[in-house]
Amino acid sequence: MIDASTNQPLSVSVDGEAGPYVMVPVQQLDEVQAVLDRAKVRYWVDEDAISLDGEPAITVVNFGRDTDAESVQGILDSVK
Amino acid sequence: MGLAETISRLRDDAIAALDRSHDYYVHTKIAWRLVQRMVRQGHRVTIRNRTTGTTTTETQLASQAQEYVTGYLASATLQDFVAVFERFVLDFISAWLTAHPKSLAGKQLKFRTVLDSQDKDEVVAAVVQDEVVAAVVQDEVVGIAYGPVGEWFRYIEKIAQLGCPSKGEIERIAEIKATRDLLVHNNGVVNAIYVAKSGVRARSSAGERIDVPEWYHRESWELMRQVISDVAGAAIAKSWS
Repeated sequence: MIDASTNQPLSVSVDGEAGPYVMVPVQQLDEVQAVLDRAKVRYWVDEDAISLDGEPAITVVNFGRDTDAESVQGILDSVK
Repeated sequence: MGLAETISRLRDDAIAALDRSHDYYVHTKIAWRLVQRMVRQGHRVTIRNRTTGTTTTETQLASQAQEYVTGYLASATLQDFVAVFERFVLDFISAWLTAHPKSLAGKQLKFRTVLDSQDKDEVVAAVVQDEVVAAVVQDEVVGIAYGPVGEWFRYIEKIAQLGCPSKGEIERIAEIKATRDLLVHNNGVVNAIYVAKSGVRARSSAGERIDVPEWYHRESWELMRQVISDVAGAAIAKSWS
């Protein structure tokens, strides 16, 4: 799945011991949630979004510590 | 200050403290999200902690940010919510007992009070003095504080008959308090004590790391705010009647 604000693929990050996460433009959030829901991936979305210097607002989709980041990346990559 | 006024102040202080804590959570989270965004945009930063000697680059900082937000920050503020809530409940019980000392009729008096009195009238006079009541109330509240959450509300119902919170709300608060205990005492790893305290509301099984997702964090805050408001409202209405 392509990030509409950067035209780069949406990238699942794994940092430290926290669960994986992905930064998503708010305008694409519904689409990303639909993909994750179809794949029965458990997640939660930040309840706020940040727009920096007038750029599109970005929010964060968070996954639990036990979530397999590669699997989620594969699910997002499978969407053209 | 009358009981209604005292309870009103306890409620207002507790709700203001919960609001401050949640604002701190949101503002701090946003600050870390900004750091993550700025690092992605290529900004560079180096931080030197002169206390520990640790040097952190923007790459390391970004990699720690997610744990800071979903781990430390969510955990610390959830613990703060519980502390505020617990303080309200115990201060409420203390205020109620102080205003209705007959609820303590079955409690024992320190023998020193009897020895220092000339006759029964003097014993009774000593009891109604504020410091004697305060000491008995304090002992009572300390005894309650270390008990399970369900006992807190059974006690409130016994002394005040407020009819709230509901059974479901008490179960949820017990689970939240059990989550807090896990975070403080067991590094967030679910154990048998959590499962027993949480009952049907348990969110994870023994051995799993417990998450504090944002929806849970928000719903916990909302529930505690609601219960504080309901208990205070019912008690104030009762104290006027």
